[in-house]
Amino acid sequence: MTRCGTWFTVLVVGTAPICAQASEARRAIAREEIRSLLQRLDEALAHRDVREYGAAFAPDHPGAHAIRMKQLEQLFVDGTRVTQESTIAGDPRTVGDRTIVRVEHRIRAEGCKNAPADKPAEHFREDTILVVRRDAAGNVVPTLEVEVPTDGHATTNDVLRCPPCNYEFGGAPGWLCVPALSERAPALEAATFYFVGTDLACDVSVQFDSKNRTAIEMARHLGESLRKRENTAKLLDVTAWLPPAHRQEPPAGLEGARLELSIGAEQAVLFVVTFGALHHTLFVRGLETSMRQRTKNVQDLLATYRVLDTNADRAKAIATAFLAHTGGVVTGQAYHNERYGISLTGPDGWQVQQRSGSSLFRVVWESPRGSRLYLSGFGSPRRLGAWCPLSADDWVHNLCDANDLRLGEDAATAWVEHKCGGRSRTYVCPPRGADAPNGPQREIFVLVQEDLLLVVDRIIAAADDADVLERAAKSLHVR
Amino acid sequence: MNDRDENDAAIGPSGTPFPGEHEWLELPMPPGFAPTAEFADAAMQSCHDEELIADRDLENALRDALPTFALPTPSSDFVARTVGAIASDESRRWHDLLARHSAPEPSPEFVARTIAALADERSTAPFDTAVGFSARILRRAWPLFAIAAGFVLWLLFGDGPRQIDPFEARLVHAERRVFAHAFAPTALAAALTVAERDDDPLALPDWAPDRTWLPRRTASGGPR
Repeated sequence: MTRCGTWFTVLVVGTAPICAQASEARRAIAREEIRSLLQRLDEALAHRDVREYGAAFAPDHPGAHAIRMKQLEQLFVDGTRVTQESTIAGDPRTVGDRTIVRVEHRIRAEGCKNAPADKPAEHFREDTILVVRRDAAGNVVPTLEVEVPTDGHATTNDVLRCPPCNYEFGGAPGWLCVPALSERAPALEAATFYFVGTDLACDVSVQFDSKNRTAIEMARHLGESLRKRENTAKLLDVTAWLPPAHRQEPPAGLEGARLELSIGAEQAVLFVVTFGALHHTLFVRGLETSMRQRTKNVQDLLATYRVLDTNADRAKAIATAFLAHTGGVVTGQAYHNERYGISLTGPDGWQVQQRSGSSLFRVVWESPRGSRLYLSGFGSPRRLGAWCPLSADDWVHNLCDANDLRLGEDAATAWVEHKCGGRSRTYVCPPRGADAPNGPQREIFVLVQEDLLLVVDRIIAAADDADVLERAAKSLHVR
Repeated sequence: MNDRDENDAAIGPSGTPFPGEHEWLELPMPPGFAPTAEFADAAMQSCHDEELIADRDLENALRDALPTFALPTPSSDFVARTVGAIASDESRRWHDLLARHSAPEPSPEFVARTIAALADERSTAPFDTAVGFSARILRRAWPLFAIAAGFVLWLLFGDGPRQIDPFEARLVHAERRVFAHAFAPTALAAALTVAERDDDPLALPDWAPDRTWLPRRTASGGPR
């Protein structure tokens, strides 16, 4: 063999495995292969081994992966055994070298040492978006798993479009839209866009600002709030910013702000757009290197944000958003929620506002003297299925604990049955902390229905307001 | 003209041998010649004037002649030859310099003494030289080896090095797990809940229950 021939042979023999691996990694992932992967993951859960489950992943997004593992760990509390049956829901699609599929998990949890005798096993459903890729050896490896609402995918082509909230976002190449579970998002609406195959993500959130702040004030407020939770967060710079789609002709009343943050090795940019008291927040985050290298991709995504109706009446726009997402509407001093069959009329002359947390709905009436009336609705936790007096009582205590309110042993009245099928009781809270003993009196009335826990919270700051509050609370009507 | 010119004897006047240069100052004065100081000064001045004239003539001649010469074109290998010559010269000078510092050949006594010493050390060592060397290393570096062994055991049987949690995971630890937003895959949820509490600290939290914590607490009979 000549010298040239020898070198050619070495070259071919040396590069052939590399070419073969590259070709293997590009080979399309079949449905059956994903099914096989799901089976392996289900088996890991059956072995109560969340670590094995997590080790199967080559995470694109370490934060989302870590949270997913924490969620799964919660399934195994108190000796619970979990059997999970996962199936592919819908057709897989491909973005770059990743395959994305929606998965439906049917979960049976049993063996909890504290389970009631009449309910030894629980059945519930979880849906996730699963992202997989093929590694060099040809194996299918999961890279991202995020839980999504079970009531269908609210987006088309990764575009989040919400006419009631008056905006559209998404659709840039490579960005996957994952709607957030409403109970985990303290907002009217929320979603996360993941840049597939990287650690970059952008959260979208719509909320109502009860203080009517400017965009810059709101950005700073959110940044400071994040810093209170995560002490490595540093606020770098707050500047005015307008969405690219509206820079040429900014609609009257539209304003925006941009806040840079560093959080350990990660970097984030918080964008706030205000159009009236409705705030749209975009939170772009990722490792500092990814943020630097993918600037163009982030810009592409930001360029897709637009306000749909730039001539919308502000007050009407807010009412429309609340009606669409909570089912409630305020007319004068009256709140009416057709979705849950609730109505209540607050005192005359008090300021009334709807709020956008992660409960089903919340309305607050506030007197000039500082007295308040809150009406809130809480949906039953999915795994619980239905509220009962015991769980309602537990939940109220948790809410009070989080607010430094201490309920005494004899703080609550007896349960009362109602015609609507619900049961109610009232908790009387002693004045708390620094306010004691002259602080405002507080009474918390709860009405328990199967799918709704209604809480009417009265804070009596002035004695003159007590009767008015009593009348308002009695105006509560439940269908 | 050299002092020892062999033809000097043949060129003297009237057959008299011509004196050599070293003999001139020894020659007797010519008869009737009595040099004065003025004569000597005049002779010296005359010589000096002649030198000045010669220098001036040479200077004038060069000033007139040099411009008439054209600058010669260097040959094609002029640069290479020059550089080569410089390098060669440099090399030779380094060679000469280093040669002066070259180590002397070890003497036969030195070699014999060293071999004898090595043989003596080998006979008293418990192992052969290589093992002895390893033993010395082990004796001196045992703390390092112990640390390394401990690290390997920790890797094998412990949890291994802990990965630093992403900040989303750290936020889970900061939240009460009864609330669903504690398991949100974004830090924005945490920021919004803190902002909400700051805006209305009197209100009960506007947060939803987590799906797993509450059933567990309820199943155990709740807090009361």
